[in-house]
Amino acid sequence: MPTSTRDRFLIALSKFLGVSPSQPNPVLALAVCPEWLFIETLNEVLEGESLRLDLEKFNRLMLNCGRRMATSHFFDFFFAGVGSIEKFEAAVESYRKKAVWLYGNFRYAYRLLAAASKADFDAELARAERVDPADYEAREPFDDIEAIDLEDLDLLGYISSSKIRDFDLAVSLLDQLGAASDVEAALSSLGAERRQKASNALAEHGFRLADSEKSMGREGLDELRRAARAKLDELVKRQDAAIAIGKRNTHRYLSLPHLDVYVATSMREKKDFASQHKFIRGVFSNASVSPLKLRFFDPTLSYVDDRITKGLIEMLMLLRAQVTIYNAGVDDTFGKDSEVAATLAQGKPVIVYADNEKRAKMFRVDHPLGLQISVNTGVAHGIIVVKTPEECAEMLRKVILRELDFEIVHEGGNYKLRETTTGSVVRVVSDDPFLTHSFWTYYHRQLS
Amino acid sequence: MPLVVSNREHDEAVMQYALQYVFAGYDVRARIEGWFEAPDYMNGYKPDIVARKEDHFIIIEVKKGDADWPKISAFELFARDHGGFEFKVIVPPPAAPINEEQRVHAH
Repeated sequence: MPTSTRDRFLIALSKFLGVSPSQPNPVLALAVCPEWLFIETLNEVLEGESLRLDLEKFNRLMLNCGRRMATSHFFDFFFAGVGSIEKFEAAVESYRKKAVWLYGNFRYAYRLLAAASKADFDAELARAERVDPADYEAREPFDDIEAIDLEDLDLLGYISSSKIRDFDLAVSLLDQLGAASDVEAALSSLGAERRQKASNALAEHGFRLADSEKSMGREGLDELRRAARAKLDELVKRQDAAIAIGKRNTHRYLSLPHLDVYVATSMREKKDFASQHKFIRGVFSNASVSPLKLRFFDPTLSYVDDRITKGLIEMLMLLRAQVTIYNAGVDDTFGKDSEVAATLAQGKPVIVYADNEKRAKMFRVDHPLGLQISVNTGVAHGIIVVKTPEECAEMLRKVILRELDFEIVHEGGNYKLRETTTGSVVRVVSDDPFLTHSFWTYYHRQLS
Repeated sequence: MPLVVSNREHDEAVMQYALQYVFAGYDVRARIEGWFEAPDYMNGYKPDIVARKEDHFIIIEVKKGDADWPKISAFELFARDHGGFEFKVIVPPPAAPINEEQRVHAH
């Protein structure tokens, strides 16, 4: 552990400059000037336990370290009033967090921010500044989207739709059997596979198709046909009503002036729809989120009957939203995983909800999608992992209002920007100078 | 008033006609996923049903709307250019048997 103010200053200065502070002689790693000159400049800054750091001394240090000189607004923002090693360390950490959050690169951040005009400097830092909740609270309530009965939500899903379609076709088959002059021959001509499919589709709804006319009888067939048709009509009526609402909601989503949150999930079985809906209600009715009147895309309430149109709409929603919430569920799926990757590639935050520690750890530590490069900036973006709807709401509020708290840790040859509440890594900077140089060289070349 | 048939009405019609041909002893291909093998493309489009008995093929298209005309035209040309092929357009709802003139328009 460093004990002297001088050691602590050199370590903090190394971190500020993006140089590994683990060198045996940090001065050699930092200075481009003769060592004695660097030490002379250093001695002018350090006065016992105190620091005498002003813009002039700061810029001499920068010059001696081969860096460009900083503007007064840069110095004032980060280092004004710094008179102790503790304050210097805190100032460096504050700078580094902004540098990693915004640029994923300490050197680039300094080069950009230190020389920027006041207007550009303010504009850059504003991207990391907190947002006034009043900006959101002043909006109209978000009540554009119509509700769908919880029992009928799954009728919008492709699995339910497929089952209803098969039931519908099986009932059509019964109608045709009923009209056939020789039911036995008609049943036989169907073939075993189609007969089994019809039998399964009817069994899903509590009906049984007998193997032969003899065991069913003409009256039995008519009774089965009538009962199945009645059940089908009721189901179709409910499905049509749910689909009509889902289609109207889709059009409303398409014309919303703002969209804050995209909720990514995969819904297959009835229970998936119910649990997803409950999760969404749990997050957006939470006291920390509901006052913000967030506009969110609820996939359980939207319907499009064509996969291409559905894909286009969802990509538009992803593009418009500020943040994606990913309900991990039990299994990963290509669809929702892609949505996470697309969000991170846009440089936007992702909150992953995993309702158990094993799955949460998998996303926090092991998942290959846990870190993606923002295409526009080259910055490595990570995901925020939460384990309850309440925690999800808390993090969502912090993301929207830019209230997240961070710490920088050095682990496995990387600097990691960790969100302190969840321990999630949201940005990464490699400590490997060759990898860093190669990465940024080729990255910028690809973009140019 | 333009003809607009829902997916459900369309699929029910295809199923009913496909089954009628099955019961009549035809080998049937139909665009009903999971129930029938799909027909091949004909002049760039897949018809709803192709029923075959020996060397006689019946192409059937269940009309969904007025926008179906290019497809219908393509099947008409196909049937005209290929011996043994007959083409029928069906306008749902398909409550009637296959030979009823009001429902089935043979080309």
